[in-house]
Amino acid sequence: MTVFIQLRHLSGRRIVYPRYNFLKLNRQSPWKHDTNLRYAMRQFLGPKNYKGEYPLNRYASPATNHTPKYIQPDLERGRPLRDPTTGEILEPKTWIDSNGYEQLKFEPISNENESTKFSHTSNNRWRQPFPENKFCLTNYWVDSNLKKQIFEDLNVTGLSTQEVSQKYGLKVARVEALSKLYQLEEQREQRKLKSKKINTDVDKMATTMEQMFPLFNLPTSTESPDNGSSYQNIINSRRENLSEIPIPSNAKKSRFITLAESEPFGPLDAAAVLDLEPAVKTLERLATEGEHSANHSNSQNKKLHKTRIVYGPVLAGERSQFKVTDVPAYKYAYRYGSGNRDNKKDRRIEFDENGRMIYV
Amino acid sequence: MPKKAVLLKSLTRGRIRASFNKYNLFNLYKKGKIDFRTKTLYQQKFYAKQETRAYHGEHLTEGRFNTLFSSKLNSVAQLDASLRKSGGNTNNKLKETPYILQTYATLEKRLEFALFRAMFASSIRQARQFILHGNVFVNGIKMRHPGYPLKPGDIFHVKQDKVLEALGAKKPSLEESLKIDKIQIEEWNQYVKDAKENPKKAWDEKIAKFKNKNASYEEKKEFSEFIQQYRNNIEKDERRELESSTNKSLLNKILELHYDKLKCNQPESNNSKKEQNNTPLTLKDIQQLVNKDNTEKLAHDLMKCYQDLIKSGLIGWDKLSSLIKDKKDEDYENILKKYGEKLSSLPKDFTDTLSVNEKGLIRSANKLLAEVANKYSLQLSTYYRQLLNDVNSENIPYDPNWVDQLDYHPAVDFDKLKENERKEMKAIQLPWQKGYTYGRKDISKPYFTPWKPRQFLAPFAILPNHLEISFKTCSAIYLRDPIARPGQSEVISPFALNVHERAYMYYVRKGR
Repeated sequence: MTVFIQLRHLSGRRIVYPRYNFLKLNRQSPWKHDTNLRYAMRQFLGPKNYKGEYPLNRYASPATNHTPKYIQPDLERGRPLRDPTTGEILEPKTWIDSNGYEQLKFEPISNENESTKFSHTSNNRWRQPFPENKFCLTNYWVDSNLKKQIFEDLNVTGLSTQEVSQKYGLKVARVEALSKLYQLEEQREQRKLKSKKINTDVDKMATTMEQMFPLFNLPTSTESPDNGSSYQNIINSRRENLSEIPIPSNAKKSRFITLAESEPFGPLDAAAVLDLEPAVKTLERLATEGEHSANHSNSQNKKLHKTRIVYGPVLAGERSQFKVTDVPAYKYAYRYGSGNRDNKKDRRIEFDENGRMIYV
Repeated sequence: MPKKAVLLKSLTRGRIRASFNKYNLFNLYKKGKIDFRTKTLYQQKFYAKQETRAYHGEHLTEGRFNTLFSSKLNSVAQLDASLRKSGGNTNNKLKETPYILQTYATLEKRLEFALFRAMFASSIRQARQFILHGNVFVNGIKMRHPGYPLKPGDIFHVKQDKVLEALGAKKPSLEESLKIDKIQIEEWNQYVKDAKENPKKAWDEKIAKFKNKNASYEEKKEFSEFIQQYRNNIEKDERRELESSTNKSLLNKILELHYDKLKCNQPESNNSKKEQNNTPLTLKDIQQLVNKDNTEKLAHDLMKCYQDLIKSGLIGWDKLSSLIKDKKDEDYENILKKYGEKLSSLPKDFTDTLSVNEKGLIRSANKLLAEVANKYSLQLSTYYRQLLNDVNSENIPYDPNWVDQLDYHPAVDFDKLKENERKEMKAIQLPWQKGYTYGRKDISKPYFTPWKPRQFLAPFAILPNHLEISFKTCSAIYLRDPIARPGQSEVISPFALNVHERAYMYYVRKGR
């Protein structure tokens, strides 16, 4: 009879070795206090040159073709080293030096090439930064041309954000953000023309970063149209879902009510119980929010920030008139004694308009 | 107070952190699936919590995190009913919504996290440092609180130098920099020596290297610049040659050559005048003037034209020497040029002095010359088009004089350079690094100058969905709190759904 004993109180402090095969340390110099993990890391990084770079590691240099270079240890089976000129996969090997100790060298594996080996990947794998989490995907970059178009549509042609959003398939908030950032970038360009002090390293940094992300309006080199689809289909598939809204906070909690068996209970009744507004209303609200939206006007905006001001009467002989403005008391008044929450552990905090933290 | 940073990048522990560090990359690379089978439920929950918290807000203590944690997870509702797919056909099936990956979504609205997600800092701890040191502004106001909760629409920016420092390579110390420069200079001199000894081999190697290289962006750019330069040179040559192949310039060239030859053949005394060769230029000399491919026929025509000119007697020694007689030697080219112009344009006052025979001969010569010039310019343009096509296919013809441009690096006094870097850094004159030490062009900056990206940036460059970033201005806009939608979670996390599930279970436990 076999008895299974469950192993409890397992120590968490176990050495995390790589899951793939790697070379283990053999006989080494007694002055060298090396570990298998450090050795595995050297096999991962490849040799370091005199400038401190790892030229063989494929992840060391940034991508320059708008195709992200995310790790694929599962697909490449722990072999991230490539010959920089031929692109061949390199594998660590050992050789014995004159002192009789093992040293590392990196040799190409024959008959194995990247294009043949790693082409069978799932649809979105190239956008997936972490091999374990298939739900985490990198976003698409909106390049400066499209940004400019959006800005001009909003500010020159006079389209509303909703129209621009529909036109390009970008969410309203993103359209507004893009236009705002484009404005900032233009201001910087103007400053650059005027003074020579502006740091040009930033431009280099910006292009380096932008080249690492897939473009919103152009397919990448890894994507090719198949099964009768075209490049336009690929680009269309990138359009954001404009009809989704965040789940209303009321719908996040569960509610228990008693219903008679005969009582009809449909989605409208459920919405009434949870205080949810109809979809039409939500859509209308979404269309009127934001500074570039269809029904937005400056006068409306001013109305929102109306403050009450009361003028005192000017009596005979008086040279000035009193003006009384509404302000919140906590800003100016001194509070004697302490409130109920003041000595609690996690007091609620907020930040005033100068960025200072205040207890509420 | 943040937690003390101990053993964050330990290879033994192998925890994944929110950082661009290369040790962290290796930890991420070697991480396998977490095995829950041998653990009790509590062990599973605790282990999942340990792993996930090491990435999500590792600097926050458990107590602080518990006050932030919210059990209500964000997701989206589909308003358009036609997009609500359901059941049946596998293609049409709605993808799973990873609600549980929103466990740590509340952290993402904190300023420090947004800064790291926008890639303005290389780790969360660095982002905190940037904020605390007053380098970060929210809506134009300096914000010194790393935990500041961002609201949708908030715009934040970081001082540019800080972002360049975070994303750029490390600035080398002077010692490191000089050590590298020493090696660079040695290697360059060795290369120049090899190239001078065997220029063809070095040329071939250089071209082969450039052609094959596509991994490194810098070198690819360098090569395309080189090709562009080469194309420009070809175009310049073409323009120059076309300009000098008109009938007037061809006539000038003939006249000059003819005069030079005549002058050389002229004996000291004028006794043997009669025996002198009247047509000093041979076909070979004429061929030099039209020297591109397939131009033999053109040379013959040009020779005929030359013979006509000789027959007319207008370019005989007597005539030419009488023109130049009184002038200084340097002016003879100009005089010949003017004379050539006269011959080709034939103004009235000049033709009046000529006989009918002379006029006929010179007109036929001019006609022939015009034909030759026309044909020759056509030949030239086809020749250069061919050359440009070759360059487009990256076949740069071998130039035997290319090594002449290569110079040995002059000797550098490194001790002097070490004592006064600012003054002596001009001693470094490598072709790619003129007038500064390695990575220290601008000594006042805290990063590698001229800027280059840090290594191992690519695997960590993840463009978030909940932020809109502008790298040019180092600013970003917080669009909304990250949410889950079918098939996608906006919270960036390296862990699988089952790990998050257990971590969530750990935090929603009763009696919290």
